[in-house]
Amino acid sequence: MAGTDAVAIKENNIVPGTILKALAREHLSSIAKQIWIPNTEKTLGTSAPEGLSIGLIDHPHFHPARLHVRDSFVALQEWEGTIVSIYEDYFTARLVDITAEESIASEEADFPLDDIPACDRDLLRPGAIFRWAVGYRRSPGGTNMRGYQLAMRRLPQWTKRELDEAKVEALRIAGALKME
Amino acid sequence: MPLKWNNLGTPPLPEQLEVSIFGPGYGESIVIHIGSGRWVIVDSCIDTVSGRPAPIAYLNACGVDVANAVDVVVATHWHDDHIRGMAQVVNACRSAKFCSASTLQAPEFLATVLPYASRNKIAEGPGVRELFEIIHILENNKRPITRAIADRRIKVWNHGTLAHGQPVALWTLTPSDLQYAKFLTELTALMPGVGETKRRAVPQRPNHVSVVVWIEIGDLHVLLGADLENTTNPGIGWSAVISSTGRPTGRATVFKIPHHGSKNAHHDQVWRTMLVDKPFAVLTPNNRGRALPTEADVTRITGLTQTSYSTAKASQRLRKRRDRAVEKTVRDMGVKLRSAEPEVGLVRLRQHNSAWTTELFNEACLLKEIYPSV
Repeated sequence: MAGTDAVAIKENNIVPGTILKALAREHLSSIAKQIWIPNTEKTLGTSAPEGLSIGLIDHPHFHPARLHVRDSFVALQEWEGTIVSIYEDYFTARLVDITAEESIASEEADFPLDDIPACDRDLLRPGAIFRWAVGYRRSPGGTNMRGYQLAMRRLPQWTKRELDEAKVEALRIAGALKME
Repeated sequence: MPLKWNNLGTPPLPEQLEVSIFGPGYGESIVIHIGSGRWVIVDSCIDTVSGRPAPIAYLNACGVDVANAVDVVVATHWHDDHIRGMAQVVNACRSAKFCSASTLQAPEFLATVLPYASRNKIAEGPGVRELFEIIHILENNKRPITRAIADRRIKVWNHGTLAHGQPVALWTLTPSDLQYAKFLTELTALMPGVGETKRRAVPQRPNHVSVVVWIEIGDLHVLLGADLENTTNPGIGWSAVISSTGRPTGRATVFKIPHHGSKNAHHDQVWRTMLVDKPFAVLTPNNRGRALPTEADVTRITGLTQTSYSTAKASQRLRKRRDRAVEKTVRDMGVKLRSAEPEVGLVRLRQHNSAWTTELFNEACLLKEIYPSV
């Protein structure tokens, strides 16, 4: 057990038997410090004892799932979009309904430019592809809020080799097709 | 009238001319019966119900053997709204001449578009896939491309070979050499660069190599304006067509209005010198992005001819309804979501003994009814 934690327990008059069992494993102590789980009648509505940030429960039972809780997103509807035109304050995109497993764009939409995160602005041009998901954002506390994610896809870059190959193939096709 | 492929009535009589214009609100295709069961197809769009190319679905429903009865297939330009399903059309119409601007054989064009198709399937958009499917079909079957250029007679059906007894000729009125050169110059905007993140090919506008088609059936003429627009350069766009001395003479009775009726594609001289007074004028609206025609466009066109039609209504943008949470979030984001695939509409014009009949299917309407307030 980390020395600091042991002192904190002592100073807060906590019975050692209630200490999270996993805490005994020193390598997990840093994770355990991140949460406080008031899951008993005795501790409900109370805050963590001052100076103590470890999770306490009445029974020595480890809750691994709760250790990794963070914001999560549950998509109810997803589209793949292709930007068609960009205007002063919005852009138009054609949308393929991924949720309905469609393969051609059956919808289109105008999006405020503000919906594109600043870090993705360099990708904003006609032909750029993005993913748009609408659904629920679940907070660590379990609260569901409606929300969306709009992420530009960073596809691989065109390489010199690819473009050179395209030129060779273009000449081949031009030679193979007959004009009259 | 709802467009069901089994309620189209009887096919045209051998001596009857038919011009059928399909448009679902995005995309267009034109099917022309020139007489005696011989057909021409210009462009292709998808019938959203069957998922098949609208011209093929229509001709099959009319009992036409497309493999033998279609004489010419024209691809006016390589924009998604004009070539969707074109590979199937080219494949099915095995005996037809395939006519297109010579971009397909231009190494500059191919070298620009090929990187969009190579290796990365995610970046390969449907338009690019369609293009290379067509190339594949033509190459494998050793079918030539009939090059569309300004003032070229592409196909002639001689006097007496069709039931109405009239000679028929199909001309292309564009692109001029200058239009073609400008197109190749502007391709650089699409050209991928080494180190650039891959993306999909999206159409460049305006399109200077859009192929305008002129059909003569005896004294009767049809002008199909594709997406040709005007520029300030008199050697490009409609100005070039007007000033040409090599184009066929005569005035068209049927006009497929160019580029969804946009102001950019309007040229007074076309109406004054290439069309009869009060022609049948049909447009296919573009219900995507910045919608066309605008109310001002409708006022302008209906002022020129009352016999003007649209293959779909401007308001035909119904879209899927989804989970309430999804609908609400989309609204909260300020995103304007709409359907891109309404059902295909059809304006069918038939001429027999100098009399014309007009039939409207699905959302097709008189142009003055495209917007309720106009």
